[in-house]
Parts: sequence; structure tokens; C-alpha cells
Amino acid sequence: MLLVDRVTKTYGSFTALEDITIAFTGGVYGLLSPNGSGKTTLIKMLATLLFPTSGSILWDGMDIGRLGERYREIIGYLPQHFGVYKNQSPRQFLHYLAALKGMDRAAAARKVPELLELVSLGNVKDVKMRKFSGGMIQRIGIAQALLNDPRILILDEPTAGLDPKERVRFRNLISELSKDRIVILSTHIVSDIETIANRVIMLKDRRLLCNDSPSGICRTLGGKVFETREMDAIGQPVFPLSQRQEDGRTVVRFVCETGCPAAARPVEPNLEDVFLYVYRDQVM
Amino acid sequence: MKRTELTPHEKDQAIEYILSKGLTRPKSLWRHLVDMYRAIGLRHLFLDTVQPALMAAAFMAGFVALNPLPPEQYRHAALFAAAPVFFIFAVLLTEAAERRNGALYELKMTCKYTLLQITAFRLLGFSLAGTVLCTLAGLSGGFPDVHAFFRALSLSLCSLFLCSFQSLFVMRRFNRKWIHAAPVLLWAAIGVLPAWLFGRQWESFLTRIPVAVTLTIAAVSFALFLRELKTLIRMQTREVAWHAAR
Repeated sequence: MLLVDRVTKTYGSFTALEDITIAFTGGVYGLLSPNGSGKTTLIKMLATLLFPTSGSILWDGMDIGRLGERYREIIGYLPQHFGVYKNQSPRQFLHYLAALKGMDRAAAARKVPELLELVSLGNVKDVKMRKFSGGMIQRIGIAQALLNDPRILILDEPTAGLDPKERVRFRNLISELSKDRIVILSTHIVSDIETIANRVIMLKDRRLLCNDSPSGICRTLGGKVFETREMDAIGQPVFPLSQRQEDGRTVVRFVCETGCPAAARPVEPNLEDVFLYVYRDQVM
Repeated sequence: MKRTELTPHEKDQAIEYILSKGLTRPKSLWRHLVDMYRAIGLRHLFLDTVQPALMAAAFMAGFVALNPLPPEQYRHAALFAAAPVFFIFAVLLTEAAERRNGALYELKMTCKYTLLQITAFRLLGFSLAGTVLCTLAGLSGGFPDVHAFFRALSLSLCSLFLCSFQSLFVMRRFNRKWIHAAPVLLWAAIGVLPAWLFGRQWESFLTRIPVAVTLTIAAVSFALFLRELKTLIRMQTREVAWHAAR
């Protein structure tokens, strides 16, 4: 179990995270919050790039800072802005990182081609990465994070730069991988984690807001989300969520805390509704 | 908030870990270096450092060739100033190249062998290359006899290892974005400034220092440099704060 135990992180007088406690046991954990809410700080602490000002992060009961290379050996990390040596080929680059991860050469020789096929880069494995697109570089990033078959996979904005087809492939891949490991996925794109996350962690004002299943989180808005084609007829105070076109008319989706307005029909809340409503003062 | 309790299995693991740490002898610097060499290989340890190293060697050659002081009168001062140039600029340029690619820098800090450990290996390599260059510079200095050559060599090694130790000491203790530029300032303060300020007196002072003294300073500095390398290699909790604070 990976345990974030009462962790606070400050930079001088600025507090980036405050008194966070989360237990990661297995499956996909989606860290969902707007930019600037502290999720990258949390991710960096899990990846040993930053260390808590107070509290501790424990892996099987041991502090990850003290574990050092024994902890780093079992993590795979994809940073938010992933970079490569552009004068190398994907194969050379992955072999380089495999060496830094302490993999023996035979295991690396077996794993590298397998991962390049997995991320659909097998046909360009020996081509210099100079002219690779952002999506291709991102796929290299995903491949390198999986090199050492990590027990903890930490992905910071992993779908940035991927096209819709790649995004679906990525979700399927993460779903498959999460069966026997912890996957921590940081994103502000709701659809990335709506379908694959077993638990969704939301941060607000530098504190933990909730840590629940997607359905549990959606239930917090149960009976409060509605749709209408006649927004002008709604007299009650509402919070508009989104709009869409249907049969040439605009359908407005909104939250109303004071019961169902006459001109509206109740609908099932989704994660995006909760996200927009919870962070209404930070997004829109 | 309620504290999450450890499971019995986790408690057992923690006890096992504490016992294993208590019974295992810490690795020596040599063991660390050998393990890294075997696991990573020289090609990967010095990846992307050929260009910075060549530039640093060119800086050193340029510094010796373009020295404005007359070489026959300021031989020791020139050697003392030139000795750490390769090391200082190799460190500056390789570290600058690593930090330019911030995301890759971060990623390397999360691998089993972090960039700190790789940097320690490289620093040792650069100091050994600096020793070879100092010997070559001494040989090309046109000293009249072996004793004069060894005096000059011990002086240049003294300068090289003093700068190497102090550079690493500062870089390890202060985790700032531009700390890798600090060795250049140290070099200017130790090697260049005295020659510029005191001229002939500095040359005369360097000429009169007994070889035993310069050799002792060089040996002690090298030992301290190795101790700093060992600490750097074992460092587990260095933050990459300048990227995180973006």
C-alpha cells in the first residue's frame, strides 16, 4: 500500500498542499482538479522529486525518501512535459532509460521492442525522434514509464497531445495494466478518468476534497442536475453547467439546489457536472 | 483527520527493512561506482557530454594560449589558474545541458540511478581527465628539470582538487537553479584574481611553496572531493525544486 499520511507541502509562506491523507491500494486513481490546485505537487512528491514539509509518504510502511532506490525501482513516471533526446531513435532512448532504471541488458532487449509495438511505434523504432509529433513523443513517454514493469505507475497529464484514437487505446492500456498495480493518473480532462478510474481524488484549496468512486462522487449531485430547452422560464437560482444543440434548439444543463424547476427534467449527474460545479469559482 | 493504521503485513515489512538496514554494511564509493559502471555502462554514463567536454578542453587550451601575462615570468601562476579550467567548464556545460531539458532531468531523477549519481561518476571522470591535462600542460611548460616539473605539477593538482572539492561542496549544499555556475566564480577567486591583483608577488609566492605542502593540500582536497562524491551518490532526498515551482 502507498500511503500519503497527513502530508503538507509549503514553499516559504506559500502552502501548495495541506494535510493530505490518501491510501492507494490498487487500481486506477484519477487525480482530478483544475490547474494550480496542487495535483502536480502531489504527483512530484509520489515520484520523489519533492518531499513533504510535514507528514510522510509510506510504501508498505516505509518512508519513500528512506527507501531511495528501492522505491524508485518500482515506480514508472511520466512527467507533464515529457522530453527526449531528439538525436536518438526510440529504441536507443528506451535502452538508455532502461539502463538508468537498473534493468539488465537482456531484459531491456526483450522489453523495448515489446513496448514500442504496444504504443504503435514499432515501425519507427530506429528513426531519429527529431521529426516526431507531440503524440508520438507522448507515446514514447508512456512506453518508458512501463519499462521496469512498475508496481506504481504515476502519470501526469498522460493524454496531452494524443489524438482521440490514441486516447482510447491509452485508456484501454491503463485499464489492462491496473489489474495488478497502482496507477495514479493526474489530469484535468474528465473523460480521461471517467471510464477507467476506480477512485477519483479531487483537491480544492490545497486540501483533499474527496476520494471516492466515480459513481459515489456523482451521487453528491443526485437529484440536483436538470436539463431544459426553456432556460428563460426557470425562476429559481441555478448554476448552468453546459449547453448542447438538439433538434435546432439549445438544451441547457444546470444544477439547482432548490428542487426540480417546472420547465426542466432531472438527469443523471456525471463526473463533468460535479467537476464544473465543485470548481465553479475556478473554471468556466 | 483519522490516521490510517498500518496493516500487520506492512508492520512486518517495516521491521524487516529496519533490520536489513541495520545488518547491511553501506556500500563504499568504489562499490557504487563499479555497480553503476556495470549497470549503466560508460556510453550511457557520459551520454551527451562529449560536446561539453571538448568545449571545456578548448577553453583550457584557449586560456593557456591567450594568457596576457608573459609565460616565462608567470609560469606557475598560469598553471595554477589554468589547472581547473577543464573541470570547471565541463561541469558547468554538462549540467547546463542536462537542465535545459527540464522534463528529462526530472525523469532521470526518478530512475534507480538518479542524475545525482550519474553526475558524481562524471565529476570523477572530469577530475581524472583534468589531472591528465594538468600533466600535459606541465610537460609542455618547458621546465628545466624533473624537480621543477613536479613542483609545477603538484601546484596545478593542488589548484585542480581545491577547486573540484569546493565546487562540489557548494553544488551539493545549495540547491539553486544556477548553482552549477558557482564553480566558475570559485575558480576566478582562487586562480585568476590573485594573479591579477598581486602579479609578480603571486608568482613568487607560488614558486616558493614547498612541494610537500602543495602535494599535501592536493591529497587532502582530493580525499575531501571523494568524500563529497560519496555523499552525493548516497543522497536520496534532493528536491528538483526549480522545475516544481514553475
